[in-house]
Amino acid sequence: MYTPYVPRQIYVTADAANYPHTRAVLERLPSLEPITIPDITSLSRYDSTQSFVLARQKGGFFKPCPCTQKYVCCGYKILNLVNNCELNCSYCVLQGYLNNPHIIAYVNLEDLFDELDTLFETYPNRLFRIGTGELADSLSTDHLTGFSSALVAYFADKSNAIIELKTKTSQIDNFIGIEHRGRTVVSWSMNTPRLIASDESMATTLNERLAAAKKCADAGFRIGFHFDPMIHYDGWQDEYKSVVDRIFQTIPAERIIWISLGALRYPPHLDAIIREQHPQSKIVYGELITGLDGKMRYFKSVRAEMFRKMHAWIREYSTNVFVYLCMESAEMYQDVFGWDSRTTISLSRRMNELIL
Amino acid sequence: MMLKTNTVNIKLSEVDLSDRTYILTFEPMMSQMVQSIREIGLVNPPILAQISSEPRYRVISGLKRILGLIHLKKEMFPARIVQEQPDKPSIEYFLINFYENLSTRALNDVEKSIILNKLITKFNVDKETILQHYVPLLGLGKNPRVLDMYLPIVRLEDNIKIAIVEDILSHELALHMIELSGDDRQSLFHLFVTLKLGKNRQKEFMRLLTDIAKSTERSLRDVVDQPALMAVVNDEKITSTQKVERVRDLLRKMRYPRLAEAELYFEEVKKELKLPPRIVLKHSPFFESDIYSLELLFRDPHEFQKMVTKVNDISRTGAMDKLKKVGK
Repeated sequence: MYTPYVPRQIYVTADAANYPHTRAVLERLPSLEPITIPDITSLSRYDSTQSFVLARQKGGFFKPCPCTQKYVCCGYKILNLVNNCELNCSYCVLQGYLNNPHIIAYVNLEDLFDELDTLFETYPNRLFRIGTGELADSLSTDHLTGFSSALVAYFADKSNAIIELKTKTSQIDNFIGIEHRGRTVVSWSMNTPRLIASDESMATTLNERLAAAKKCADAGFRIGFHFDPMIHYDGWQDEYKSVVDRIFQTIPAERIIWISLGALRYPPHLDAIIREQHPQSKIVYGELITGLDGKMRYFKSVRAEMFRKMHAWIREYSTNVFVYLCMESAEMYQDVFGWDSRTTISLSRRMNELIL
Repeated sequence: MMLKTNTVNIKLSEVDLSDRTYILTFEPMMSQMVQSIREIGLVNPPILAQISSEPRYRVISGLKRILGLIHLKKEMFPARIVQEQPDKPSIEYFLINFYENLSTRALNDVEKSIILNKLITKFNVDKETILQHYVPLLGLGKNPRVLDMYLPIVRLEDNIKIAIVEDILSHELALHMIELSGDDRQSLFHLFVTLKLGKNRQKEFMRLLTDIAKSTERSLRDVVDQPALMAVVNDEKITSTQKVERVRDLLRKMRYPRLAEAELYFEEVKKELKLPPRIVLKHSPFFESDIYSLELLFRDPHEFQKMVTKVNDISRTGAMDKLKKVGK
């Protein structure tokens, strides 16, 4: 059952102490006595459990999505606003990616917005699709940070950018009433109830995700769905189809901006972590081979079958909803969608057209 | 510690060999000991604890010597005797045996496990003392993970413990086997021994077998005992090496059925193409890319020209089109 994250300890780096967002977070956690630390590199000296850390982002917030080598990139950009996640999904790459267990929220949003202002003004003819859900769930700590409302308000008047808030939670209260002018996409990672129970058990249920998505759709937000990672198991077809059915029975197709499909993949070192940390999970027993990027992924025909069927089920409801693949080859695009390589290369442009 | 003992002659039948309170020896090699006693007699009397007013003795040190005497059918032998309360085993007596063994021979992994278990469960030594003092004495450093690695070994069946001592089975794999049921463990062990698998192959087979068992929700024993696999293991017409390769192929086909199917189909296409040995067709790793490579090995322009002609001939047959279906 989903319970919003409640930190047992909170740390504040010395240079983050005076930001308004720091004060706001601390006011929301009156029972915790914050501990001031020199910087985030000193955290291991204090605590080995998952604590909440307020820090100042010293580097840039804005980065291209790391995507993966040798597969098609959709041109997504990310904001490094929060690092790490408490949802503990079995397949999560963050388990082997980040070098400490803490959730770090960067509170200097003033610097973030300055950085984005400069970027958007420097490149007025470029379109930017930006997300905050790569190194964290976009909303799982929003009850503490309130970042979502600041982001939605900031992007509302941007003509060449949108923000995507990607989540497995139902934490939408902070931003649902904010004027967004269509520049915020709220997205949910989707999976089957069986997989949610076994591998995403600390996140919300499918029903809760859909209910939250409906509220956002009703509030005029455009909605995204990410079937990522799709897991291949006995019975996957009926169960994933049922999720597609539920989506289109709940959300009007015209409110759905995109649906992405991505099959399970992870760096090889994560295999041992999943086996050890998530013994209830069966995802490692799939027919996983080593992909061109060195990551473990399903054998090509398994992925192609999953994508083709999902695409067909989606098309039964809508011929317009944009469907794309995450971290897949041009050959897979050809196989699943019949796109030629030129169409695939222009994936980024096609997606940008959606946000005009 | 100074040990006060009386040396007396006692009957072998008065020694309780089933009492393992102070014993840390596992599977002693007896032949040299028997030979020594036969040649020069018992030089160093064993130390025994008298645990009641009756002549009944518990072995403190010298089990191997006593077993040697039994082997030589001796009835009496000299022993150093100490007195002891039967229900209060003494850590001092255990340490006599421990240090005596430590100074005279190398302890095997099972014996190290016995020692650590006894220190914790029988003599209530706290883990910190064990880590700081005893674990380094056993040559295992001071890492706390050592306890996780060594304590479970005593729970294994004797045949598996012997395999560890004889270095037939890796310590690491044995630890993984502890998590299996007794039936599964013995099935797996039997397969390893029958196929005479080296340690790397053991590791590979264990991963394949456990993954197949878990993905198909069968017991590991059921996977090992399935007829197709047993037919290979029991085939007397093939060599051990061939058995290992065939069992491995079978397991890979079960674990990676679509990949195995693609590999088989690719080989069939290659056969159909009838490529000469010096023209080598290769697919991408795991067929992940649709790109194939063709390698031509030649000595001179003439040979090269012949190969190009051959490749042209092959391309005209249409057999290459079948490559499009590989892995689909």
